Amino acid sequence: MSENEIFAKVAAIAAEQTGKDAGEITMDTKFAEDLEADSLDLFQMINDIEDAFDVKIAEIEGIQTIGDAVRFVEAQKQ
Amino acid sequence: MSYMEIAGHGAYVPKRVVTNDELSRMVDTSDEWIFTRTGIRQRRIAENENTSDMAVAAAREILESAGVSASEVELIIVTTGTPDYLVPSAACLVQKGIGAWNAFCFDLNAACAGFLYGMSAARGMLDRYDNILLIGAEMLSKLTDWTDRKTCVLFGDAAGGALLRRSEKPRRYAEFLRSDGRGAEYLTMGYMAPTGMSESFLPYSKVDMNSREVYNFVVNTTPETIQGVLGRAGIGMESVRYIVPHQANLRMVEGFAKKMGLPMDKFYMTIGEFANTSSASIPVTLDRMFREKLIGGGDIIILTAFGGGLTCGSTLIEL
Repeated sequence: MSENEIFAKVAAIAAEQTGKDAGEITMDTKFAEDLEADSLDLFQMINDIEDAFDVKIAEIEGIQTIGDAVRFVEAQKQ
Repeated sequence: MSYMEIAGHGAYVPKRVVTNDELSRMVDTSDEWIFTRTGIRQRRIAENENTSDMAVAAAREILESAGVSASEVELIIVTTGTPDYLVPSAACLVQKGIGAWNAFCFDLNAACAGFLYGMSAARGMLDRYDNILLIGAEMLSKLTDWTDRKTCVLFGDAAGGALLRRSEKPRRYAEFLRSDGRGAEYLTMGYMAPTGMSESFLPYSKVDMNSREVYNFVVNTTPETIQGVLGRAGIGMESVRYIVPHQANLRMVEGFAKKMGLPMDKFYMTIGEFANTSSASIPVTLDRMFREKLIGGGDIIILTAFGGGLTCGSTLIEL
């Protein structure tokens, strides 16, 4: 799965949970500041990302941006 | 095995209302912060009464609703993680309070899922005992850390319950209960530290929760237990009038409703008014639904709960 494909899926998950426009989401978009996600939104997005890519995200502290999540999934998938 | 009916219902909540605004003067929080994350607007907090006092008040309402006298009750089960004492049981204190001298009494602790586990126990004993009083009574305020803004906003005090007895009319009943002790440390309260022979007494630990792990457990296991209980009952979701969830967090309920593709109006919520009252939340909510005539004879409902232990489960009953 390419980085673009992972990004598209992560962006769709983030857009659905936060009610934002997926088209405005970039790799630099911050979950908390830009998407106004609170902790429960974050839990649910992490849940959905885990399900979508069949990965386990143990530590969410390092994941601040959409790009962080995409790179995490990429690393897990290799 | 006999069929079971809910022959009476009742609830009691303390008089004192504590709003989110009041809490925002104690810890760094706000009504908006609490409401958007939990759906909670206010909670009741007990003063000058204990868990069993609330349970006794609920018991009186239940008996009146069922038209049953205290002397006809043969078993009292109180589900609680916050009893007055470790010994005697809150159930014996309820017996004392209402004068149910023909009953035997015990407490059962399955945290927030207690009422479902208690119903399972009552159902199993139904052939041998008449008029079983099942009460969920919780005073979380005793073990709440009132300096922890993450948890102190979540809980409230309440008691509620039902009178369960054999039914001549056939009624559906199915349960799908689970526990997962691997998550034991994710939600704890009331830890009693070993002291050896020292005279020092360590106070019980306050509520401590790993929010993310609990959230994941609930959002993932609840759809499984609801599907599981439907499978055991052999019916589809379209036959179910309401799902009555443990009132822990509106956002969590929205999470598993979305996961199951169910509309939120299938779920009945009282969390805004009473917050999370652990094993009392389902019977308090049921009492409200009966009183508002949202549910009645012949309706099929699913009760679903989850909590420390970790415990979870769903129970399907035909009223």
